[in-house]
Parts: sequence; C-alpha cells; structure tokens
Amino acid sequence: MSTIKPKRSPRPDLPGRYLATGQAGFLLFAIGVPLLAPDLVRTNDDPKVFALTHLSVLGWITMTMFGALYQLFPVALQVTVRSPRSGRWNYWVLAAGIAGFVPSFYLDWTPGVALFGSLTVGGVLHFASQMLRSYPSVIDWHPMAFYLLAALAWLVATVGFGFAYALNWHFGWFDVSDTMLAAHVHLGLAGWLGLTLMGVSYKLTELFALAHRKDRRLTYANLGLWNAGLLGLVLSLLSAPGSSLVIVFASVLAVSALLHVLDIGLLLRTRRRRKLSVEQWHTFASLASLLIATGLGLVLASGHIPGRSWVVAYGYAAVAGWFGFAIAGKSYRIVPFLSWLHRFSGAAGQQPVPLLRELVDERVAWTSFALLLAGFAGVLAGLLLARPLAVQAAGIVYAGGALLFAVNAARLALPLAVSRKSALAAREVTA
Amino acid sequence: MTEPMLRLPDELIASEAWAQLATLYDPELGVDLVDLGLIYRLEVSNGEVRVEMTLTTPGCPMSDSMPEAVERSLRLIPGVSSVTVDLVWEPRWEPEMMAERARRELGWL
Repeated sequence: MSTIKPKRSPRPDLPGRYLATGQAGFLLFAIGVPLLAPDLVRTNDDPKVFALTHLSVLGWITMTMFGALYQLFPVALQVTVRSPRSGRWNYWVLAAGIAGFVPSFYLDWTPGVALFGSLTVGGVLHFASQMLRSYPSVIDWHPMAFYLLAALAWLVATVGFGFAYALNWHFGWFDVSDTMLAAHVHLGLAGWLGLTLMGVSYKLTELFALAHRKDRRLTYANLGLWNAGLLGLVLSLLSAPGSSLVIVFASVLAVSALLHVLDIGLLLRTRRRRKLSVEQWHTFASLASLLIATGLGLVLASGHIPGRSWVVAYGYAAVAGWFGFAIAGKSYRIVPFLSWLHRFSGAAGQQPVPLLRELVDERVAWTSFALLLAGFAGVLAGLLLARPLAVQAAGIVYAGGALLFAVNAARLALPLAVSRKSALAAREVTA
Repeated sequence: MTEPMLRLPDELIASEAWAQLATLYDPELGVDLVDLGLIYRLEVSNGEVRVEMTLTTPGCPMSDSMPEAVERSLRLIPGVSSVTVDLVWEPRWEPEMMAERARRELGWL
C-alpha cells in the first residue's frame, strides 16, 4: 500500500501574486490593442508593437503560467518545488523587470531595454532553475512532465536570444533580420508557451472532465514531432532563410498542431463529465485559434506575405486566441480552487462549504467569453484586411470581455488578499 | 464531575462514519466522496477509525485538503477516539467505481 503524504503545494499567495499580475497584464494588453490599432495594421517591426508583444507574452501569459505552475506542478507530478521562498522574492525581480522592459520598448529607450531586459532574464532563469532542480524528485511522470521539461529548455533559449537582441539594440553589434526575430518569436510561442500549454492541457482535461485515456502514444509521438519541427524551423530561419527548409519544418509543426487537436479531442471523448462547461468552450476556441494560427504560419512560411499586418495577425491568433482562450478558460478552474483552498478547505468536514462552481458567476463568465470571441474574430479580420477602425472597434469589444473576466477573477481573489492581510496582522500582534 | 463520554458501539460508529462521509463533497465535481467511490475501506475498532481512500487521479489538486476534511468530519462522531486516513493509489480509481447517482450527476448516464 502506498501512502503519499500531502502538503506539497506552496501557500496560495505564491501562485496568487503571479496570477494577479498576469491578470493585470491581460487587461493592459486588451486595452493596448485598440489604442495601437493603426500601428498594428501598419507593421510588426515597430517599438510600440514590440512593447505590446512583450506585455502579452511576458506580463500576461508567462506570469500566469508561472503562477499556474507553482500550483499545478507540485500536485500534478507529486513533487515539492525547490525553494518556494525564492519564488516570492523572484516575483519582484520579474515584475520590476517587465514593468521597466515594456515601457522601454514603447519609448524606444534602448538602455532601458538592456537594463530591464537583464532583470527579466534573471527572473525567468531563476524560475526555470527552480523547476528544473525539482525534477529529480518527480514521482508521477505524466506526459505533462516531459512537455514541461522541453518547454523549460526552450524558455532558456528564448530569453537567451531575446537578451542578445536587447543588448544588441543598445550596442548595435550586428544587424537583426526579420528571420532572426522570427526565430526568437517561435522559440517563445511554440517552444516555451506552446509546449507548456499542451502539457498542462493534457493534465487539466483529465482532471476536470474526468477523462482517462490509457494509450498515450500519440501524445508522446507528438511531443517528438513538435520539438523536431521547432528545432528545424529555428535552425533553418537562422541559417537558410527563404529556403524550402523553412516551409518543410513549418509543415512539420503544422501536422503536429493538427495531431495535438486530434489528441485532445480523443481525450475529451472519453470524458465522464458529459456536460460541457464554460471552461471547455474556451478550450474549443483556443484549439480553433491554434488551427487558424497554423494556417497563417504556413502562408507566411511560404514567403508570400500579403501584408505586414498578416504577420501581426499570425501572432495575435496565437497570443489572444490559442493562449488567451486557454488561459481564460483554465482560470475558471484554477482561481476558484485557490480561493476555495484558502477560504474553505480548513472548514471542510466540519461545516458545509461551497462547491467551486458556486464561487464563479457563470453568467458573467459566458458573457465574457462571448465578448472575447467576438472581439478576437473582429480584430483578426481587421488585421487581415488591414482595417485599423475594425481592429479598434473589435479591440474595444475584446477589452470589454477582458474586463468582465477580471471582475469575476477579482471577486474570488480579493478575499484571498484580505485573508493574507489579516494573517500578517495576526503575526505582528503575536510578535 | 465530568459527564461520561457518549460512546457508540463500533458498528454504529461505522454506520455513522459512512453517513458522515456522504456529506463530504468533492468541491470540483459536486459529488460526495462515497458516491464517487473514493472511500475504499472503513474499519472501526474500539473507537479507532481507519479509512483507506483515494482521489480521482494522483495529481488531484485536492490531495492536500480532502484527507484532512475526512479526518475532521469523522472526529465529530461521538465515541471516536482516533482517526487514521490513508491516501492510497492502488487500486487506481476508475470512473466505473462511481455509484449510479454520481454517474447521473455528471451526465454520464
């Protein structure tokens, strides 16, 4: 009989602070799209567009993923994260880095990009080392463990490239071509964010939909295919831009994306929880966006770029679509759980406690989803047609959805913050 | 003078314990632990309760809190002198272990 001792998770304030910052990043990104609509339609190669891009991938998505992983990594893989205390102070390093990095980009202030970029890189590398040092004690080698391991390797490569480009922007050592930037973008989007989302999706789909699929060959084969495609794409972008190798490896990634959608679909077919929740509809929107991004990626890889705004549309489909819908949907599970854990778990067994679904306002969640979906589709169409007014209008709709999402999340998170304040006050009195 | 502690026979404690566990809900699924088939064994001997339970998956986020909730709820039963909760992963939980009521609740039937 195996008995597993609980208490692996860190206190909720650790994931909570990253998730709350990610939420703020989401809102700022949503507001930034309509504000920068003319720039987004004009070109992808602009400091303001770089600022918005890094706000979304670092301030919103990476912060959220760090928070979610602090919570999920220990319980899903049955491992204790090394040095959670350092995760608390590292938050400030990372938050300060991103808070300076994004405006420096926006203002085209190259010393700031180099300085705050260094802080951001330090924070990211610390997180990666925390996770990697925890791996030797992993007990449950779920596919998520392998996906995340690969994702962490790509994360290190992403910030390595980014750091070199940031320093180079200030010191001007070499010319940075579009394809060199594309390599950095794909390392981050497909490598770090993509593989993390894929791995976490397998685990959370099993958990929340009660889906059990014993045959994981497709999941592992796809892990190999995705990594091989990405490695080939990055190397060909760097060494043979414009060659047929780029389209070959982009096609490998495209096939892998299709297989991932199929894999999640097969997993969902085994679910015992039949009713589709608002979280799962977000998942469908996310997977559909992945397919849209894949299609756009193939067009761009072929070298026939209809307009610069298509490059922005490609990134937007991945960021706001694939990652955005997935993060919003999964937040409807993760944030209520953190709140429940903090507020009610101590009373469970002694008095009635609410269910997680009772902590979320479903009507607000559905309305938020509808607005995000409509706004996303409108912004994407506006970018593809190079219509700034359409991007602006749809961006406002999207921002409305993001605001409703934030309201729902804040209702859950505020009691958590208040409880923490009370705990600190109690500690002071005791001292 | 202290009141003599009410002490139920072991059989009654066991029956009360099952009833108590049926009031404990998995907050994510909204189904009680007994109907979910998460309680593998419950034994009572001289007021000492021993529970063997599992969760739907080893990576369940509730693995920290559910066993504690089980322990707290069983301690409320008069005559229970100690509670031991073993969280086990063998045999691994399967959806087929759910009672019909749980299957209906989740829309499986």
